[in-house]
Amino acid sequence: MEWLGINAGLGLAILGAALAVFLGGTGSSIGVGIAGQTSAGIMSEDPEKFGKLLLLQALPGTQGVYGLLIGFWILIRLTGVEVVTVDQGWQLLFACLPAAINGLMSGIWQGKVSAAAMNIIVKHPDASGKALILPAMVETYAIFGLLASLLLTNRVVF
Amino acid sequence: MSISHDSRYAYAVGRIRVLETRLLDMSKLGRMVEAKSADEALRILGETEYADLVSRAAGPQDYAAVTAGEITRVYSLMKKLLPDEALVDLFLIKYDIHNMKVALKAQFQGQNFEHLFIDAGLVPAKLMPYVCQQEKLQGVPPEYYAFASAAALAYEESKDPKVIDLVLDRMQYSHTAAMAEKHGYAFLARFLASQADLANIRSLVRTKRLGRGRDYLAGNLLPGGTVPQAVLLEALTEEWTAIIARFSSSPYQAVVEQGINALLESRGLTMLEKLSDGFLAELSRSVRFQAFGPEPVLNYILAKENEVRNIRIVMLGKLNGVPNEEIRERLREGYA
Amino acid sequence: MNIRVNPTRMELLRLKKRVRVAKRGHKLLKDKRDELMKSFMSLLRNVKRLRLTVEQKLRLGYQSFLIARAVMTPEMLDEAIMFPKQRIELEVAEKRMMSVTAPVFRLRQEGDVYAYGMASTSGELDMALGIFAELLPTLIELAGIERALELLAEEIERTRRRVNALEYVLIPTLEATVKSISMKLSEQERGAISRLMKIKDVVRAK
Repeated sequence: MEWLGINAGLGLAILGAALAVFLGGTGSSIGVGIAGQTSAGIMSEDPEKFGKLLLLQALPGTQGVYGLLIGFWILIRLTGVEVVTVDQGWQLLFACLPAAINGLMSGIWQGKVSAAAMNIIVKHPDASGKALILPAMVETYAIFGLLASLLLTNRVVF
Repeated sequence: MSISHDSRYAYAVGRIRVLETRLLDMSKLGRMVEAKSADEALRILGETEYADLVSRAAGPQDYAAVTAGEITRVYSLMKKLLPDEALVDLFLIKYDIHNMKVALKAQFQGQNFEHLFIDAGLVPAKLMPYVCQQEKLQGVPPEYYAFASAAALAYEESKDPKVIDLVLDRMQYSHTAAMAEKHGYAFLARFLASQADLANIRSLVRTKRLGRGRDYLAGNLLPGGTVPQAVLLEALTEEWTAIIARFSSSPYQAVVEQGINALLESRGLTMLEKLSDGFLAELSRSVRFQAFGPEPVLNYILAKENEVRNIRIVMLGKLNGVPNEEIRERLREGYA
Repeated sequence: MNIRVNPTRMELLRLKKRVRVAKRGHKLLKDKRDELMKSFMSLLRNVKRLRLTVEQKLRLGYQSFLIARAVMTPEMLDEAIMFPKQRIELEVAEKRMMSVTAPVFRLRQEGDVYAYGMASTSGELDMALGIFAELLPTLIELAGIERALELLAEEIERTRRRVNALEYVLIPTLEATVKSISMKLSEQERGAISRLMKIKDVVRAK
């Protein structure tokens, strides 16, 4: 990996962090976007529903936060490290992938489930607690991704 | 992945979920049926989404203005909600075709029938006579000129006003189906096919009831259905029981069987029509819970068209002193 | 209630003849009235039966039409029937019955009533129009009979008035006049006799 220059390891680590932030954020923004459109549609007819919709609307946003967390975590791990070897770089890059890819996919799907759950709330306002569980299930897998990424990055030794 | 395509409707679907809760359910309609007078029925209607229109109505006789106002309001609201107006346009073609029939029949009779126009189509109704005279106007779908000339030609040949209806009905169905296909509304295409099938089955039963021949039925058959026209034409000469048996393995089995039995018990054709409307409602309801895509929008528009028809049935029944039981029997089941 | 006439024998004879004529006329008119009444009643029963069946069928027709109007958009229903194909010719002839001239309608229908496409219309429209088309000749017939009935009723009324006038006015007046003339004549006769007897007495006394 000489052709990448001396600091190729650091570059790979930063790429990993960037991917986690970027993919998690993308997933979240699509998810929040979908849920937001639906809730805007509902609220334009029935503004009273704002309170119930807010949480559902915010749920797909967590993937972005998880991505950001992993990004920061990588940066914290790297502070004080003199040289990042190419090996360590690759390790960090791959360790970021669970949070990144999980964030992208679960963010989008959580947005869709949130939107669908909003439909339930309109039809049956009493069932809003149950409706909240549905997108929360998707959240589980985003958290698994975050967890895996955290554990994996911690296994990298400098 | 069709994620980006489907989620375009997210806003519209969200709004429609709320609007759906305001549809008149059977209990509300039931209260209108039980009302002591047409005035009271109208007042109950005024407690719903229709409040604004009802307050502007002069009285129960004015129900037609209320229903017409509501349906145009729904179409224009849907146009605002949807990312693609083409979907709503599909519902408006029937009004253009209606106006074209009126314009052509007025032209051939040399009389003014402007009051029969319904100004809800894609083309402003008062422009339709010019379309029929093949004057090129902006914003008129180019197919319309072909429709008008085909209908006019058919009339010139036969001097039979009925062919205007026959030609234009066929054009309407094939055009709507083609547009649905073009814009990729798979469900709507399926819906239209069922609609054509049911219309054809009704024509079969009506033709047989009138004792008319094959040619009469053939003229009335619509294209685009899943039941082959040859089958329908063949069925015309069969006994009623054989016709029922013929459809026994089709999705329309219940509609055909119960509809024909009601006719044979001399309860009229209402049952058949109600059942075929019910079939379409069921079909539309089956896709209503999709959280994305145009289906919920479609279902809502269909539900509104159905609701308006139910209001007409109740108001007319009330105004003419039809017994409550008979009114109730004729109400169509809802889409919600 | 006398007619002011000269109480002469000539007049008496003339009046007596008039009474005879009036009585005969009275009897004839009365017969005519009874006959008119009889045909009126039988026609009436006919009309009643016809009317009942017509109304029954019309109600069915209107019922179907009402459903068609309810399930179709009003403008679309009107469009379906705005250009009728059926041509109807109505001929009027006259028929005389007992000094009454009643119209007789003859109807010729040609062409199809169902001048619309089936796809955009309700089947109830077929039913309604079918009933109406089937009913039209009966309806026209009914109109003719009802007109005849009306004319008959007028004629009966007129005859009844004439019978009454004869019975209660003309004949009693004439009879009273005849009576008073004959009384006056016999009075004159008695006067003449007593005058003659008086003259005879005077002549005899001389």
